[in-house]
Amino acid sequence: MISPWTTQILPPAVVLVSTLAAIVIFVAGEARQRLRIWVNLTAALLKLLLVVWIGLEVLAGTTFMFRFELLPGLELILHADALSILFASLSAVLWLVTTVYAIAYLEHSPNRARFFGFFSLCVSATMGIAMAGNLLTLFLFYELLTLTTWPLVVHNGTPEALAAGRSYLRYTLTGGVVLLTALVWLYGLAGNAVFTPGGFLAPLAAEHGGALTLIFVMLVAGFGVKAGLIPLHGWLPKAMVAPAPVSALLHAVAVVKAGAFGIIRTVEDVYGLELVAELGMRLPLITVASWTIVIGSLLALREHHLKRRLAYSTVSQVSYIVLGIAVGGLLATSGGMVHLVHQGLMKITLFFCAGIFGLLLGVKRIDQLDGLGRRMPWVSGAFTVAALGMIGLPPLVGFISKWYLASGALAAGMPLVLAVLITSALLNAAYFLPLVRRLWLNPPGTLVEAPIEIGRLPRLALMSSAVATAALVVVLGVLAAHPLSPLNWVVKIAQGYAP
Amino acid sequence: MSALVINLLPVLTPLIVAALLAFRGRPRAFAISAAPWMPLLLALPLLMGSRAELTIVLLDLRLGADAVAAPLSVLCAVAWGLAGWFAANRVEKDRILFWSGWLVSLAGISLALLAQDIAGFYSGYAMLSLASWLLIIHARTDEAWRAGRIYLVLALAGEMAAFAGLIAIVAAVGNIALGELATAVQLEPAWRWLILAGFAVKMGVVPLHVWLPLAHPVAPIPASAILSGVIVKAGLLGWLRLVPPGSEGAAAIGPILLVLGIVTAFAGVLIGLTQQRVKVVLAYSTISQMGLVLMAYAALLMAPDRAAVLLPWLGVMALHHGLNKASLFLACGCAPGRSRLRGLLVALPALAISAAPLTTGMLAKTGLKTALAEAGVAHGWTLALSLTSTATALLLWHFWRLVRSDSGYKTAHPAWVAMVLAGLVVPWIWVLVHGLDPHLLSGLWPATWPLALAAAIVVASVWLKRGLAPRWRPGLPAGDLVVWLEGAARLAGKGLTRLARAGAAPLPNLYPVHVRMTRTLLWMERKITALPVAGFLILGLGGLLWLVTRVS
Repeated sequence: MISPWTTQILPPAVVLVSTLAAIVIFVAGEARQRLRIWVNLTAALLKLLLVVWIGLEVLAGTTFMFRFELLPGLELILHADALSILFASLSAVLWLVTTVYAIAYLEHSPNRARFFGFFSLCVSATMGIAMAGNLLTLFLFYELLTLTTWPLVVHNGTPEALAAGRSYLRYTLTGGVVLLTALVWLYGLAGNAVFTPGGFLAPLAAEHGGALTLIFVMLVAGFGVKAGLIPLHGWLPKAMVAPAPVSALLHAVAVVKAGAFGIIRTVEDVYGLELVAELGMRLPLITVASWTIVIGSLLALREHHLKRRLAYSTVSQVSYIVLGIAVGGLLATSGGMVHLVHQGLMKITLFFCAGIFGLLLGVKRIDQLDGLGRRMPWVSGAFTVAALGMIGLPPLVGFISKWYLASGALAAGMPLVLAVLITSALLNAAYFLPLVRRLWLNPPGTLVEAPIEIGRLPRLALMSSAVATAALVVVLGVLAAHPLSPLNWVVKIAQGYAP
Repeated sequence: MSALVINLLPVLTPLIVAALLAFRGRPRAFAISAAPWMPLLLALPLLMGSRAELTIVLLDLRLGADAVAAPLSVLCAVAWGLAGWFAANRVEKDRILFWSGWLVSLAGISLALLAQDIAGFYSGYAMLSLASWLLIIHARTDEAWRAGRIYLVLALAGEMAAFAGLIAIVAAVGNIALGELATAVQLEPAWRWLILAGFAVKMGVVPLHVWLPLAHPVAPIPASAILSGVIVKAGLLGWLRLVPPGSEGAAAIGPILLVLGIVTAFAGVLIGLTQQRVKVVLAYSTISQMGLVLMAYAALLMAPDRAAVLLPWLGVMALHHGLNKASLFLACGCAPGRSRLRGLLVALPALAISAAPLTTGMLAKTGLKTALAEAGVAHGWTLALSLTSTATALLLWHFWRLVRSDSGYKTAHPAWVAMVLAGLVVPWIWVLVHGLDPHLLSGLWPATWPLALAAAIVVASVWLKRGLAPRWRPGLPAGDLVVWLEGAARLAGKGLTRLARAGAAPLPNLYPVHVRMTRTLLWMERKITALPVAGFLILGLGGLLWLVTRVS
């Protein structure tokens, strides 16, 4: 057993590791590249170790709780339950990979101290979101995430990037204001409550039903901005002007997942799905998620710019998570939550590959992908694996998510949701298979621009990041029934919510 | 442990060999030389008959060869293996593409054959579906792309239909063993129909047959051979696995399938007679034969308590058609009109498929008739069955007239000869091993007169110097229905594009911001982007917050 002191100190430690790294990076300045690399990698590894440690302890039944009174009645609470660990470990793993990727990707670009500093702060914020023990804490880190990702989105400094950044702020800050209003209102009604599986608002339902409904809508809208629920998704495709590592993270973990995670917490730990259904909000939530899934895919089909197509695919896929949560029941809840991990792995792989194509060959558009399989077999292979996974082809991770979501939908008596999932799978095939065909089967086109030569080591780092995440897409799919797989972890969580 | 290895080898080895194709030089050369042998691995689980459970793989994967998988495993090992031998010498263009499609398809069908749980079966089936697309588009001509596109659309749609149905099972009882399926779950009829329709795409049941006549002529010859001989039977496997005889309410759909089967059997021949390309004619013949298999399956559904006898008979039908049809496809690449001997090598499987006396085709017909009798179907059906033999004989005569003049490759490949011999022998061995009664004597006359009738028609038509195919050609394009469907799809696509374009109009700006606010933002932006100090700013803010809380 570990000491009570440790159980208090570990959650904030996970958050602060990256903050410390950020401070060192900012202080060291632009020139100290080697130091920066070491600090980055050490912090990422240390964080991963801490998360694994906490995860094992949570598995053994230890409770982690760190409370800090900001103002009387307003507490900052960091805790670690199984759901926190799910999100934290996903972030920690992908951050490590992305750090390696980003170091190689940005080897010759300016302002790297700024980039990596904010990059680390961004991790801190995400870890804070994962570990948050009440809505206030979640909100604080959520807003911190907005502020720390903005410099990353506008990193290139081009007018287009700045415009995307403005759009991003406009959407997320407005979302933040809505969220804050809902938060204040909720604190007025329910006081300072911690996240409780099954929610803590049920006793208030009789008296304040209308208010709770409105608050719920505001919370979902506030979080929905980052999760890219249509029509709140406008910023997401624009934000893909950011450098590839940032897009990869925005789409796979940090921002969109923070939104989805917020919705999970709201539904499961603040309201409880039963109360949501009682307030008549379950069906609207399912509807919003469903249309986002279908419309997002249709919009993706229309795009001819590689990263934009991937961005719309994110819009569509993240709503699988919301859909699973809203449908409820053991199967669908597991399917939704496990997609948090699975979509992250697949999408980060796709963006890594798109980034490599763009950086090394200047390939930005879909029609430029022709014949790249021969030129870059490993990267194209990773891309193919992730794309097939997105379609839900067995034995890849996307199939596992789809299997659980679909059977959950039918178990809950909602064949229409199954129809949505199937439509989405077909649309996914329609916008991903042509890319795969271009990579491998079309004759090579003329190169857009001369290939950029980078060193052997950075090249290796870029490729191995993409291949590593693609390998996870395969391994976690094939070994889905392994006791330590995300699937089994998530089933454990879902049992807590939907016995 | 050994059971595990035995059952995993046929699935994993082809995948590993396919992965070796990626490495230039020695690994690739090794992979290409090893690839044709891979189907033989299926003999291992078949002979050992052991079962294995991999609790950590997929959703608790269970493997093992059972009575349903056995005939198809034999078929797969023999036909796929011999076709692989043929391919090893004859496929010269884009060998990596060809062999990767070949090996992944093989791994897929092996998994589908051996899997004993729903998720495992579906995984193998989906792998097979996608990978066989690579075989179809191998030539990468416009025609091949079109065939591939139509195949893929149908295959994906079929797979999704089947997926919906099997998910309905999973939602009720989880990922259970396939053997328990018949008794474990009561399914709404709609789901069962989705499953049946989904797998019917692979089988080529009319009207879901349209991909076959397009895919077969464009694929390389050995690929057509396994497509027509083996892969179509994966659909049968899907039916037997997911709507097993004895399922609640399945007997009621038997008669409908019976009608669908006979329609498919005749429609295949009739449309096939209008075709002028060798492999298209063979494709339609396959469609017609699958109609017969569908009838046998329907009879099995109607008499589930006789499954112990009927299942081996179904196996005979699968083996008979698979091996003989594969022989006919291989013949297309061996200039069969060049010598008498080669003519004989075409005639043997052709006669077998037309169910001539003492051939394996007679065995298959006997099996089917036994099945129908067990199902208590009226005598009129037997007459219809005999007439399908006449029709098939006419179709294959038409095939012979076309293939005779073919002179692509001058040499005959030994794999072709071996396949013909296998077609002659293997179904007989199967019958003997399973102790089935072949009704040799009583079957002779029913097998003879339909062929005599066909011969009479042929002779009459030659005598009338009209040729067999009618002068009035209906002018049906290969793939018949699909041409209209394509037109419809094109229209729908246009509509969809228009819709998407309408949706593409920029969404109204949801957060109109006052001009001054924008200006302030711009100013802040300039300041902040200039400084890496911005990081400190945020940290400082945090510190300030902390101080404030301490003071209060």
